[in-house]
Amino acid sequence: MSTATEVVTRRSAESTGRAPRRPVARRRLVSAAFVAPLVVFLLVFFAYPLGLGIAMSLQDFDVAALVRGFGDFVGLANYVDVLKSPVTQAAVVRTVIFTVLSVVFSVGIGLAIALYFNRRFPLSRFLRALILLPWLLPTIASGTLFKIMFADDGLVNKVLATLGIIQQPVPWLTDPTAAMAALILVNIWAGISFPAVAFYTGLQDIPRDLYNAAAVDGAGRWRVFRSITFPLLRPVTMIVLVYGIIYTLKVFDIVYVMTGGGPADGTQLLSTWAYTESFTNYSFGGGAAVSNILLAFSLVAASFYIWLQRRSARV
Amino acid sequence: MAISATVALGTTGCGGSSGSNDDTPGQITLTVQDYYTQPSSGVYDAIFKQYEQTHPNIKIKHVELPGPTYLTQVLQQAQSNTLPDVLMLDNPTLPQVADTGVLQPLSDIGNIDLSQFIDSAKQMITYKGAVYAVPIVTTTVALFYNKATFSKAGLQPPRTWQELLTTAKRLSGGGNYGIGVTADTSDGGDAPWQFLPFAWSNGGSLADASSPEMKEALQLWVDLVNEGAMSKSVVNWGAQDLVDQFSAGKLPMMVNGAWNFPALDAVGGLDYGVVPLPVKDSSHKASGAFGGEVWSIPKSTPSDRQKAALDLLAYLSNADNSVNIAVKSYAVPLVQSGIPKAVQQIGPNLQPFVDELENGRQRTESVGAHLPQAARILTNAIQSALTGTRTVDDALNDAAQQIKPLLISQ
Repeated sequence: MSTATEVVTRRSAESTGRAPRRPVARRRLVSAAFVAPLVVFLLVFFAYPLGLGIAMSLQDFDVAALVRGFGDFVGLANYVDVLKSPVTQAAVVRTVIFTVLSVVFSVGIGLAIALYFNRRFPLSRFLRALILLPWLLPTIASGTLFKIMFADDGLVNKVLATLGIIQQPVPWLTDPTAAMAALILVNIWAGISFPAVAFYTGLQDIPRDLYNAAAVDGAGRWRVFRSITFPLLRPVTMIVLVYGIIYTLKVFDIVYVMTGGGPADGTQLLSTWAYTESFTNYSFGGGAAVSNILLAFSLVAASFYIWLQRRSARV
Repeated sequence: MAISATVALGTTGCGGSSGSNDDTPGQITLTVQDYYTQPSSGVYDAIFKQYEQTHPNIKIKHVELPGPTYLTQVLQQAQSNTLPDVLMLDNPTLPQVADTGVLQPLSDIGNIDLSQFIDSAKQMITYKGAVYAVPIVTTTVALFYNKATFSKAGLQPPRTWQELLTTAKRLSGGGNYGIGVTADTSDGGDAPWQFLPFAWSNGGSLADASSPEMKEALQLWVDLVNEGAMSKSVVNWGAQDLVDQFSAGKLPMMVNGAWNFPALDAVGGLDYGVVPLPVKDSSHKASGAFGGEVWSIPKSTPSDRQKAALDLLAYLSNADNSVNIAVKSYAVPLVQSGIPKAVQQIGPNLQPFVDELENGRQRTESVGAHLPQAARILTNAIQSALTGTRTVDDALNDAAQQIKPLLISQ
């Protein structure tokens, strides 16, 4: 958002620089006309719903309030209530663990896959296209399949038993800890495509000469990766990490389909808990408060991204 | 056409309301809203068409909204004053909507003969002493069993909890389980819909989730899991998962509803029977939770249209039409005289549902508009007991504490 605003303001600044003779008022008007559509768009589609969400989180917003159109103002009471609730506290911890593990592994595996496909070999183009599959499938569909595979007598346990890794079936979706593990595994699978594609593109941009020069200097593979590939992939890595964090914080469908946040709230993330508060408990105020807490997490990641961009723009 | 319900003018008399609309005098268009999809919605369309033919001054506009977000949409309509003239509601959501004050008590509009319905059905339509809706058909869950599996094992369908336990155990083993129930969180908790009938027949209720009667019922489910007769995975199973496994011959018994008859009948080689849910011992009677929808009239409907709406609802719920709807949707008609006809047309497998519904109870009975929250709390208790994270005592004591502030004062 802010990048777009910056670009627009910078461009309008440039154009004013080129036309110094126009009257100031008119110049201002022209600039405003250029900025206006974006500002209106941002206000209508971002600021307004955001404001509504914040306003709702400050009201006692139940079913009766929904019918009346407004609830009684209660200040921060909804935030105090939801933060005091053990379900929210556990959901915060789970959301952080879920996000960190999902992002670390999907980005790591994505990088490994990109490095692998950086070399040409038979079928490499076909297999590279296949990596996109998890990204292209609707999560509702893949989540449903994973729910079947992770059942006590499902494919996952059968394979593990056949390989002799487990004696007893793992209660994948009925034990809260195992269920979190299953959800993270599925989310890693679903999250690999984007980093793999981004890293692959990043690798294509690294000049071949550097590798040739390194070969002449007698650098080994690890040395080449550490001194050439990795540093030159840094901008891509940063984007992939920040995007990964923001997208993973919001994950909802996989959990909703596979466990519904259960057993007994054992896999509630902030996203599913916000939904449950709003549409099962019909506490729209509480649900809005949980959503805004989740939004705060995303904002931290987003500000980090903006900070990185500013820094790289200055360099 | 025999209409057993009589509609009379309300006592208020409403001066000058001779049923006139702005455009054509005497012509009334009723907007009727529900969440049905085919084939059910076609059944209603056909009845509406008949009604229009016998009532030339009435036009019916049938509106269908998606089911999963229905209640939220209704509440938004209430806020923007765009409710339809006739509003169908899933029966356990009636208290929530009535609580907001947007529904007209039917006695304000006219008289509707409630004596034609089975006694227990009044709970479905009454909230805080006022009747807000007309019932047509209802559903509940009973015990389905695979006849071939049972006769091969020389077993009879269980009638008591003890028989259920031993029968389910006998039919388990080799990766198969004897029985399946649903205890998942879909629709904000399917578990109470299947669990409360077990507890009710034993004398338990949501009014005190920590009562010995509730604990015994939950202990039965936990025993089934501990004895290897039921999968822990039931905490993730919905009604359709049960049907899939029952159809595949993997599950010899399941707790499910009559609406599955057509799907099960379509499975080649599957011979199944239905019995009422087992009770603790023969001194108890099986009880079912009312499912299905009821039909209400919003306050926002103008008074002439309200009268027309009530007449339409009387027509919809008469013996002929309720049997017609019941047979097409595999449900139990609530007009007493229609029940034998429905059983005759659908088959004897419907009878166990009828038996349970004569003792039918309403999930909202002690919690009213707070059912969603109470159902979620109970579902969590059931899930943690079934997965072994908490004992039955702990889980239900805690649930009772949480449900207490949600109870309505009687």
